[in-house]
Amino acid sequence: MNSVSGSSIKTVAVTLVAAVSIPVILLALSSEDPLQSITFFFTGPFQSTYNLGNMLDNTAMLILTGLGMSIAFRAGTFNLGGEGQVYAGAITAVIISLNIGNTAGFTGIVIVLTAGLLTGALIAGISGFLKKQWNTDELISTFLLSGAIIHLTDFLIANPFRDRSSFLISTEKIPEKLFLYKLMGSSHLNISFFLSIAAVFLAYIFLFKSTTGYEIRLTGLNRKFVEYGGIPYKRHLVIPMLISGGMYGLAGSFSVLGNFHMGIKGFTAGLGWNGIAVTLIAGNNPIFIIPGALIFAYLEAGTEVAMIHSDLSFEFSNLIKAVIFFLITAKRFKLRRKVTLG
Amino acid sequence: MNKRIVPGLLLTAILTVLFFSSCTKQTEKKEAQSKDYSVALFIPGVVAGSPTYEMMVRGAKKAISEIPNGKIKVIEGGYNQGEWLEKLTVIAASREYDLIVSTNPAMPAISAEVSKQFPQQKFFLLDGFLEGNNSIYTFRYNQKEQGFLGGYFAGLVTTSTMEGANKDLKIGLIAGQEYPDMMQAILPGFKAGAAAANTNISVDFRVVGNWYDAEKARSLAASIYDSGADIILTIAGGANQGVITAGRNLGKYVLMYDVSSYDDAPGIIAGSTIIRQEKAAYEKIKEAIAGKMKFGSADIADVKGGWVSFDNKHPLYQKNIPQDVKDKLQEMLNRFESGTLSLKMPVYLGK
Amino acid sequence: MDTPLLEMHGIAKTFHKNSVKAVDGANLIVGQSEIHIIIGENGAGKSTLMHILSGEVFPDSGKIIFNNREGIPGTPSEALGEGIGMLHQHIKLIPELTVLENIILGAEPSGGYGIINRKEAIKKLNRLSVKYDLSAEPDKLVSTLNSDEKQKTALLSILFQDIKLLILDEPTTFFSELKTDSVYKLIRKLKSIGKSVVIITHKLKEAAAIGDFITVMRGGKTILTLKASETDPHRLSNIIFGDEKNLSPVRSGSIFGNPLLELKNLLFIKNGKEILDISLTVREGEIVVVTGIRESGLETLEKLLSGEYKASAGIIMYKTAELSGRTELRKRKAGYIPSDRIKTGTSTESSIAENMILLNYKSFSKSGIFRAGSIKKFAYTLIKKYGITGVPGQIMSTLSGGNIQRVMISREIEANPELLIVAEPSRGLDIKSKSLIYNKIFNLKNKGSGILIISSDIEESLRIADRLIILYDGKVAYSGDGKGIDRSALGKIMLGYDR
Repeated sequence: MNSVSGSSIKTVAVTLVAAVSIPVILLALSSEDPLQSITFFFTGPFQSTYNLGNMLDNTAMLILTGLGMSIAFRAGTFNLGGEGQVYAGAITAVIISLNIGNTAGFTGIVIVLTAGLLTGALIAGISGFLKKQWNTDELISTFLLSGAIIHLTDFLIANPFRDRSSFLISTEKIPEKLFLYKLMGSSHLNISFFLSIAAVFLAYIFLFKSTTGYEIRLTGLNRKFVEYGGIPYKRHLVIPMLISGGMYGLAGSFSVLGNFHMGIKGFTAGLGWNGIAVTLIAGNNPIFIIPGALIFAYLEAGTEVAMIHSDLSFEFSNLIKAVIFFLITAKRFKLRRKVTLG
Repeated sequence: MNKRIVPGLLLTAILTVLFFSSCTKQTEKKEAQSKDYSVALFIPGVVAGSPTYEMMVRGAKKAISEIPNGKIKVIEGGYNQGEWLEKLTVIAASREYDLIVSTNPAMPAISAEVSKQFPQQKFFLLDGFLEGNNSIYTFRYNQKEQGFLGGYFAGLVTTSTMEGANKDLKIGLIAGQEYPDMMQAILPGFKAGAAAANTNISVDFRVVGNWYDAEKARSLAASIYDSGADIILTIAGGANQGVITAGRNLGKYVLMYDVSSYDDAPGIIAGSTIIRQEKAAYEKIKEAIAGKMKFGSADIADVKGGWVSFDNKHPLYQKNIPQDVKDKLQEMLNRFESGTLSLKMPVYLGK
Repeated sequence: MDTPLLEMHGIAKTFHKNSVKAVDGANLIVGQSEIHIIIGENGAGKSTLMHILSGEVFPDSGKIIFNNREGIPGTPSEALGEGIGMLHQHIKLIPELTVLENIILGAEPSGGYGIINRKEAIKKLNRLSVKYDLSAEPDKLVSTLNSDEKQKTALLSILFQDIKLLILDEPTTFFSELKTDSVYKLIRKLKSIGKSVVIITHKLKEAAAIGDFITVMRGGKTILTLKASETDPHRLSNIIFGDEKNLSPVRSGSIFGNPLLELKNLLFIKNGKEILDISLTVREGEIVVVTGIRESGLETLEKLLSGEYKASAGIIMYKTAELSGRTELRKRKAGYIPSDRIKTGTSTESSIAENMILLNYKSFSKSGIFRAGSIKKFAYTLIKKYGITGVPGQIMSTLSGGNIQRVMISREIEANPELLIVAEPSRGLDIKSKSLIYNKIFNLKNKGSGILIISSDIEESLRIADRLIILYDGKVAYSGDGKGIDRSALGKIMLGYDR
């Protein structure tokens, strides 16, 4: 069966060229010392194992969030609530970690990750359920729900779980036995990297090699056809949402156990939206998510290093990201318009 | 489809570039390769819109401009607190800077974390406290005294005959969030100062929950004013604007913290405590350049040393405040400056 | 002789997705005010050649001279700007916009400052409607139109631009039988005012009846161009296929078994109006054909059977089970070939194989995971058996219309359904595909399956029905074995004269 549809390698390549050349042009024209800025931009992420490791860890998180978005896209649904789902998954991981008592490391980690995953799945699942029952537009319901969840999580961190002795708006640190095994010096890179890549392949097999994946993809492509084929499709308005939210929740709990080790107000901000960008770079083919996430993490790391070493400002680095995001989404919307016309 | 994207991409890129190249600032030309002393200024937030950060940047730039091969780089960490540690680590890991300067009560703990990996990196942290780490020198203001001055002034206003003052002995304090300095230094100092004016004054303390929600700050302030308070000390960053709006709507007074800003709302802003952030950044960085910074120790800057004060020289203050209030405040300032009165900052272990 | 309006030389195009040479060095010359027919089997390259001319496909090589200007249009709007307009087999309209908005899209008469001059547009539209005898309701939403009206709208949107050459892709296929005349009228009208028309078709009669010239395509090549008056369907057919095809399947003498599907006084009422009132029985081994003109109730019958509509009253019996409300024929393994082949019958962005396994995909899996090998084998078997040009992994939308239909037909028939419902079986099919589908239907019949055909094609209805039901205005106007009824008698019944 043909599985690598959805986007050609050429399309991906064009996106990548754009994503890399835009920052270069912007840096070249905004910097006092463009050569230095550009050099830092490109080589910065490889300057130290610390930078490299953090970039790869960020890649892992983006792979999961990108995957979450991709699966929803494939099923013809949208999940715009990634921000809230990641954040809620993260805070659940923190709360469970702080209350898990003496549960041994491995079991504890599995419990915490499962809880984070389920939290994300539950939140997105609500939108899926609303769609199934009352045909509520999931584009809006996921987004609104996420907004509410973000405020709730802010409240949880700032109030009941606040570490009053800290100057940050943060919770207490989670027990050290729950920290994920680090792979590269002092950087955040940890075993979640391999688990994320494994998730991509599992998702690929699920989508393209399983009967449920077949049903989900057909539902995404042509609901009339699925109905005509006598396949009960209504549950496929919920299942992809559960998986999508689960991936976001998992990313949140990974970033707690592998990186932050505590909850800080707004600490996972951006992961949800960036997941969409990664999906769009990848043309929502699960396998392309890996390079898509890598390139996005590389761009983020590059702007960060360039900001520290050259005269690039904080706002400007965000602007570069915004321009890239804009270009990628613009392209996607063009595609969508074409589909509507066809 | 691709054929049509590419021109679009280029067009967007060119427009963006033109726009930004036209407004890029021409910063001072850096001196050539051999650098004598380089400083990274890490801002836990962004500079624009924050007077205390602007003061620090000014002071630091001045100090660096006075040596031949000085280099300074301002790095903005943004508002996501979760990213500060990583960013600071990257700065230290670059080994490019002799000194990292920052300001925020949370920075000592974060810097100590970085210091574990990069012990050779020196830190100078304003507005924070940490003793005993040989790479870190902290310099904080005596906020108990600063709070006391504010509380005393507010007490004088509420017991005065000023137009906006009523009979109720009530004053308010609005904070962006609860944090140890606030709970253990500013608020107790504020209360003690108010009590020094009149022991029956009660303090209404409210928290916005963040440093930007001006609308929430406005409604909090309105409810404090409604309950009978006539002056509110606001320490809420961008949300301060909401408190000023409420004061203006109801004809009440606002007291500012750290930065003198009478001109922002003449007649509404009745008073302002001040800190010498620019001077601190300038003098302490000069000290560091000269190799005289006492890393490992923590200094407290108080009213007596001239680091903390009350801006009672401003024309608007002079014009709007009754003479007896001015006299009593001056008297209190004199007592601090002469050393006959001083308050001890609490020692607590922040994380 | 005048200079021709259009010259195409050495046009070639290979689609990389399946590396099939769709067009292979084709040449075409069309004169001024000429009706030119392009005829050929499904997949002969007719549509691709015309898509190149209308700017939708860019050729690998070749030269086009149109109206004394040489160049290859890069986009459909570029082609339109040059005066080349194409009406597609699958209409491309925006359902959320009104008829008028669709028509003027891209050619809005401006009232200055970029504001659309509505009055001007309506005036122009009215002029066109009268000129070409094409009625249109400007403010109706396209999504509420039936397929005839959509076709008209699409046609008007092209005529709205000042074109010199109109390309029609299977024009009579999608207008119902009795509308064919008005299509011919329109085409002749265009010719009379100096415009040229290129028509893609595989209907031999049509080609001979209306064309000035006929170009035959086979395997991506233009075989030859003839004067229409110098040829006849018999000769044409020989050129197209190489030999004469027997177009009439033989009616087998039949013995019918038990009832499979019974509709008893099935009633559908919409807005208080009785749209359909029908009773019929399909037995084992029987082919029942329901026919009628447009709006006689054929569409409603299909939607009732597919379950899209819920019957207002009456009974649907499937074997011994009584189905209330929505039919669940599909869950009971009935075969169904819908009239809306593209949107309902296929998943166009999925592969051939994925479309083929729809009805029994679970049988190709083990613990929920597909066995790729068995799917591939199955798909290849069907591809071979049904003469489909393509490979299992190929995406449906890259196939020609005929091949798409064969994929769907192969899926429905290979499942060996006890009951098969076919709506408009020959719509959009070439002769080869048509005879294939009838052969398959007769095979099923001989195995004892019951077949219900809903068709507006009169000849087809007469030829294959064991029992013929003619609907008029939602009611059964005739029900019988069709013996002794000729085409003209049939036409009278369909139009409601002979009740």
